[in-house]
Amino acid sequence: MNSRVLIPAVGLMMVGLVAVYTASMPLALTRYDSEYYFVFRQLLWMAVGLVAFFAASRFSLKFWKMIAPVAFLTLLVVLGVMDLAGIASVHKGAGRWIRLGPLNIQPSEFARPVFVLLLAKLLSSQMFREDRPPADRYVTLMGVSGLLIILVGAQPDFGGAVLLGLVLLVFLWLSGAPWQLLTGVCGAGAIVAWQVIISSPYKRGRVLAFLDPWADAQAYGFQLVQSYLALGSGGLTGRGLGLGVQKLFYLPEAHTDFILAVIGEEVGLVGTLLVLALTGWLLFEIWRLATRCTTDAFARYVVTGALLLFGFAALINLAVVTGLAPTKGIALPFVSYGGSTLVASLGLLGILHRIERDLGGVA
Amino acid sequence: MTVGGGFSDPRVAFQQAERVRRAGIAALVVLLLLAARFFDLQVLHVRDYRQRALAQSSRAVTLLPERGLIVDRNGELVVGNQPGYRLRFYPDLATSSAATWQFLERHLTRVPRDLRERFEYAVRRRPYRPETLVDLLARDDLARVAAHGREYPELRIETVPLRRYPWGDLAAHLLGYLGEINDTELEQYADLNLYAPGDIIGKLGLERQYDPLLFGTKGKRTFRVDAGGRIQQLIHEDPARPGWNLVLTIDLDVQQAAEAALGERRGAVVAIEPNSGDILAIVSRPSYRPDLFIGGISHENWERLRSDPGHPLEYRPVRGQYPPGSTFKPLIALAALKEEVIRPDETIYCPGYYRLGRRVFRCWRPGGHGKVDLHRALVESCDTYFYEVGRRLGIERIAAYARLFGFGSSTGLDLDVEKHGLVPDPDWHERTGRGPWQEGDTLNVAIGQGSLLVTPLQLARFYGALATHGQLPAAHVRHHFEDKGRPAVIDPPPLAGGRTVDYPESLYAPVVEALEDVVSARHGTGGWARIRGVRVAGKTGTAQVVRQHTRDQELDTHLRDHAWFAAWAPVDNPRIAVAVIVENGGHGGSAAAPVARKVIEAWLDKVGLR
Repeated sequence: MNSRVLIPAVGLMMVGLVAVYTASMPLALTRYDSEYYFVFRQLLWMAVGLVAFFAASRFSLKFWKMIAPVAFLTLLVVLGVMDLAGIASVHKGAGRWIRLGPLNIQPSEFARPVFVLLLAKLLSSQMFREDRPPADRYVTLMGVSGLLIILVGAQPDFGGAVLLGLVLLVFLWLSGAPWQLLTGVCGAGAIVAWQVIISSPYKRGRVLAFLDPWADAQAYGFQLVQSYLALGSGGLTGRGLGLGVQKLFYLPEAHTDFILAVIGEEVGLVGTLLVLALTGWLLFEIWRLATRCTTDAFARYVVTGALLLFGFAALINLAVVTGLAPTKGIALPFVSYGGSTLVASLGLLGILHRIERDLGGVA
Repeated sequence: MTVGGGFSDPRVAFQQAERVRRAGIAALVVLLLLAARFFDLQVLHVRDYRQRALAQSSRAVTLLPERGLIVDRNGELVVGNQPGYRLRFYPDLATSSAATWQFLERHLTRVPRDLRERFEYAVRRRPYRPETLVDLLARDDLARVAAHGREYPELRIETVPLRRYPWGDLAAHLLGYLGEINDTELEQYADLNLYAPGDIIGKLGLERQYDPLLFGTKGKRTFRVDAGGRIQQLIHEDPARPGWNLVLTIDLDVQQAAEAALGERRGAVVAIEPNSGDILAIVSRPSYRPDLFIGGISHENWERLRSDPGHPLEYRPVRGQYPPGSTFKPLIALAALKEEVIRPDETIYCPGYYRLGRRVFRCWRPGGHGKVDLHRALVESCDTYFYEVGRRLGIERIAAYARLFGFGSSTGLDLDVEKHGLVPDPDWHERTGRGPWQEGDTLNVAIGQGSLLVTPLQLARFYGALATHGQLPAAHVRHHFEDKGRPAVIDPPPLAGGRTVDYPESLYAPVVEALEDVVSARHGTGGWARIRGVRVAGKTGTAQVVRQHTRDQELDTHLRDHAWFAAWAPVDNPRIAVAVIVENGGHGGSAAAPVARKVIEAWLDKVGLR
């Protein structure tokens, strides 16, 4: 296998596997009576993800361009039905998941690559030729994007919606959209975000806690404070693998969104910098691939979209863990526990691998 | 290769490539910023965060030290330990105090009378402080609480060190007892940083006096706990260090002999080693069983002890203050010899009374002693002789000699409860509103009556000074502490220093000879203290309870005189000085002297002098 984008991702997954094992051990033992519960599942999802990777790389880019609207519509229907069911359902947050036998699937995770494929298709289509008036070009684009973002946000997957919004914004900028549109999108995003925050005391609390976590260390600030304590007690080389304390139910979401805090506690700065370096390497490889796509606009948008998806996800996750952004619920790509993210991400990487192969020899 | 549309406008393509590059650079900058943030959190603040994480994820369990034992001078166990269990209530852990109360009502059978009050007090007043509900769980209750109490984390069974008293009520007052520390004591001992609420400490006697040493040092076991408080692992153990063992000067055999000799009678015995001040036996009767106090004394038992006409709670040898009666006469004799108000061979005529102005002071022998010199006056305890000598001395000089030989002040005993007795003088008499001192008052003091008061301990020490020609060491019950190499919380406080009485050596002889004859001569009043093969010196005494002209046999028991006997032996090589008082015992010779004899015999047997 000769894929430059896959290698750092595999590195991150290896780190993730160890981290998920150690971080989830107390929870797995307590809830499932087996310390391997989560790591076993993660391993299983990795296998599925790698299958997705190779499957995706077998299909031509033309196929992906063709399939994008279909995938988009399917996703729209699935998310829409789930949102409606979610509104009807009494169970909080149950709307995000679909149960398939022993596995839970989170469709909103798949919205990310599909969104990138769709935007890439739209932006590289004839409709977007320079000689068409801007209004024509952007109406459809904004319509479908807005719809998807709203459906994802209603899952509820607030973090996912923010992520898609950011990708959209950068895509608009890259496509040379007029500044009025860009500021308009920014303004609308800000208003929506503000409304969402003030409408829910839960989200408001989270934002306030972000501003001063210690003031509210027992409630909204708890997670962030625990993350600080985990990272902070790691030091240079950590307490030692497996010897973390914070995962003993102090740090919520230890094996998912806050997995980096556990890594930081057990392996120290060495661990966090390793994750940072691997992420940087992955982003660099994707970025380099993007710069090589000089002839094909679709390919370039797809690669750039992947760069933005992984980059923003990693950025937001790391910023949240280190207290630089309010808690949102975004996993660390390839490291956090979570099957849907992994499969969706590896699928997208598979498409990138196809582009890599199509471009031929390494530059 | 072109899939789909290519870039129609090279300018757009160039602009895009440029923007992608910029995005890449931005990402790089962001990554570096994140790295800096990690460095800041993880390296610069590591100490602070580690501490906070430790604070929230560790739980310390205090390990109680084993209390130091109390042993006699030969290492015989006097107070030991046994484990006990108590029930503690942690109000802040209770989900419903009503449910807790129900549980207690259902499962406990033997509870303190004020259980309900304790419980409510804890719930209402001190929700964050644990309260002891049952000081000593009965065996059945312990089993029931242990079996059914799992769902009640607010109820905890804790082991408490309890005392064991193998000798029953022996020396109970001296040893004292334990109880839960109270707020006053917590404050009082705050500087030691040793005690916490709920600790069991000494409340009385030596247990209290030497508590910080006997208590030992607490240990700590630190566990890692998860967010739910469940123990994950042991992080650190700092073992408790047992308290030091207190080795007493008391000799268990002498003490037992003294307790037995006094028996059911009320009174006190003090036996002291004259040269060292070591107290060999110290008895107060009636006594009580200190194990009544284990786990807190019950209301009934406390009332019974308090209202007992024999006053068993009173610590007679050091807190009982009595007129010394004739046992005081040797002091008057010493004063008279030194002040030269009389020569040893000078005689005074005793017609059975002494006239002072219009007042008549009676000698104990109604028919009188006839002509008596110092020797006979002491041997036969002639009051008339001492009236005259006392008058010649005057109260100021009597008081000065009494103080010189340790009366009216502390004996230095290492038990802070000691009373000082009373050496009266005109100053005191007027100060306390008794009017001007009369010469008649002096006469009463001269025969050890009137307002003169001594403790049995002071008297024993005085006889020790007679025996050693002036050695007046501080009395003490602590021989030493066995530290076994363990550091103590505090150093044992130094024992009080003794002194040598500033009195000419040569003047003791006439008094000592007379006191030997008190025991050995045919007419001596202390014949009951005679021991074959041992030279014993002593003096009987009778302390008047009421002014009387009636014979003792005709009086109610509680109005009879107190019987005194004070002695030492052997005369020329003093190893023990004893003072005995038998309350309402009648005459010192028959009531008190045999007790002293048994105590002396016990000790001399021990040191191989008999």
